[in-house]
Amino acid sequence: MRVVIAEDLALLRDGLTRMLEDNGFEVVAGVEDGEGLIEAVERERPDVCVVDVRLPPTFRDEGIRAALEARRRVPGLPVLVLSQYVERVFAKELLADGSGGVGYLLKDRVAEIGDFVDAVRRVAAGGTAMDPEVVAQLVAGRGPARLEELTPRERDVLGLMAEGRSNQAIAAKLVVTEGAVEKHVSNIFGKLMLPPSEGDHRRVLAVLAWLGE
Amino acid sequence: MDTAARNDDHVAMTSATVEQPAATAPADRGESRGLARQLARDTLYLIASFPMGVLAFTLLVTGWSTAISLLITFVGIPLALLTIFVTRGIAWVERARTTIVTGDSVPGRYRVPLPLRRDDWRGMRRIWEWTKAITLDPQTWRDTGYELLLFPLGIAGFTVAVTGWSTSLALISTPLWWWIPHSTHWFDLGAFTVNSWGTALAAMALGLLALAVTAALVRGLSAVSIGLVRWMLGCEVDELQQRVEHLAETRAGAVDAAQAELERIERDLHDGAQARLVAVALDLGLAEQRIAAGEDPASAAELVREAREETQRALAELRDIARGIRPAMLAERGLEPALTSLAARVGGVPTSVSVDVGDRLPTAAETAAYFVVAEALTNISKHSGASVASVRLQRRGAVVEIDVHDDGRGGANPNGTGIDGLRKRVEALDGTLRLTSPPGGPTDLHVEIPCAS
Repeated sequence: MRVVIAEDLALLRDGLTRMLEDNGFEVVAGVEDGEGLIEAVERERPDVCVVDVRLPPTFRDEGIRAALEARRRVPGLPVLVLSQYVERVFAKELLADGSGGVGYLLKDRVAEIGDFVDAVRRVAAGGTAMDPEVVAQLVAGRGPARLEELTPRERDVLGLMAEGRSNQAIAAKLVVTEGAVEKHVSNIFGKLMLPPSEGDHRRVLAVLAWLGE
Repeated sequence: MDTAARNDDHVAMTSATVEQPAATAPADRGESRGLARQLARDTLYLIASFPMGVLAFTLLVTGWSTAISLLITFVGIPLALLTIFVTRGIAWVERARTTIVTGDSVPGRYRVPLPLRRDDWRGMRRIWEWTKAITLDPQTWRDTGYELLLFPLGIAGFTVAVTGWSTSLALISTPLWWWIPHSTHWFDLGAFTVNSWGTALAAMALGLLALAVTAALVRGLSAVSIGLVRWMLGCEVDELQQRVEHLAETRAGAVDAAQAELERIERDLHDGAQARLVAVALDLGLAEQRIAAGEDPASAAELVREAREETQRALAELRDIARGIRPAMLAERGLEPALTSLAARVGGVPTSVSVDVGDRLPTAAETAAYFVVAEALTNISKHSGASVASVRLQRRGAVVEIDVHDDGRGGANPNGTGIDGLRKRVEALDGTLRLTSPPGGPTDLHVEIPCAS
């Protein structure tokens, strides 16, 4: 699987490269700014990009803007954005086009290598990877009133679902059977009055949209 | 005083005795009343100047002569200070008196000396500084000058007001005395004798003239006194206005400087320690993965070693950031050891450091002085190509003077970002910064930071 990394600090760029290569990815380009990212994406047509939010010259949301631009030029390009802190607005901007293949994770998550590599693969496959912090912020923003109808277990499943995990992954995480997860999911959709959605990604979008309403 | 006003005054003063037809417009009459009130105020002002002048003169002369003659014993100094405070007290009364007459306040501005603390009585240094600040205050000496001038001015004002008004009124009323039956039928007025209606009326005309002259003199003398008070006891309003503008500007500069500083710290943290810790976590995660996968332990050990080194770098960076906020050496030991260690650390150019500032300075002044030198030395080592540099700090009264000199190639930009940041920092403390760096060198940085309050 071919990856482009956009990260201005050489230390982290090298670390990410080594980690991804250790896990069977091929890092085809490591760039330091947004322009470099767009250029590399158009040239290499990678399977996935890993992009730091803060890039030169502004060091604000350069990475998000470069990622959105790259996705405009190469439709459906999977992008995983890394950030030092969580900002709901960034997550919403990434999700706004409704097509799959986006991720938004805290930089700290790179240390949980198994989870991180899993997230990269999921995004590359057109899925979603939302940081638990983002999900927690969305849930907090939504207010507890409408979540009260959910059982604590259903709330756990909702959170994991919003992070973009598959039924299988949720089942493994919560140590239950996939069948049990499916049941929870249909209960959640029923209680929140969400239209039934086919496929992991559509489901995530529905849940995130509901949370972000 | 113009003729019209004098005529008005004439009307006002005579209308009581001579019936005037109601031809004068009400506005004129209002003006006349205003002028009469003004003259009354001026007169009272001048009359009161006399006792004030005598009091001030007596107190000042007695105070200073006693203080100076006792100066060799230690009693002279407190006596001199007492005299100074009496001088300021009288000046305060004089400003208040002027304010009552004119309606405008006269702002007086004295230097504020370092407040004395209880334990200052053990070391005489601060008391000496305090005494010096009080004694050398220019306003105190302007007060003294004014109060000495008040004595002759008070006598003159009093004499003119009292004799002028009484003579005028006496002369004007001559026909009345002449008319009253059984009174003496002649007055000797020196120049001529009143012994007929004609001479009585002539005396009255003379009285009216004297009245006009007195009014002019009273008005004039009072204006001179008030002008003197404003000039000698007041500070210029423009000066205050400029000061306010300067303060507003430097305050904004200080806020900018603080904001820029915070942004710099945030960037330092983000690019430095925070990024290093992410890298450490990444290395350790990879090492864990390799060990778990049963790979070569040597490659995992290599990752762990890198992680440890990265941790040490992160710690060093955090320490530097903390030092950038307030260097530990400065906080614990003071300026001289901090600057000596700084000069050794910046390196590159041999630098002599001489610090003569006495006791510890106020924290803000101390930190500013440190960063001025730190920035200057960094610039010297980076850009100047100097072979030798010197740093000199000394305290002159309530000001610390910092001079940084190098023999390098000069041409430093006095408005560069580094210098600008320093200037804002210094101006926030009401100090000044001057950089002289002609092409070809040498470069001199001169900074003054007040440290009195």
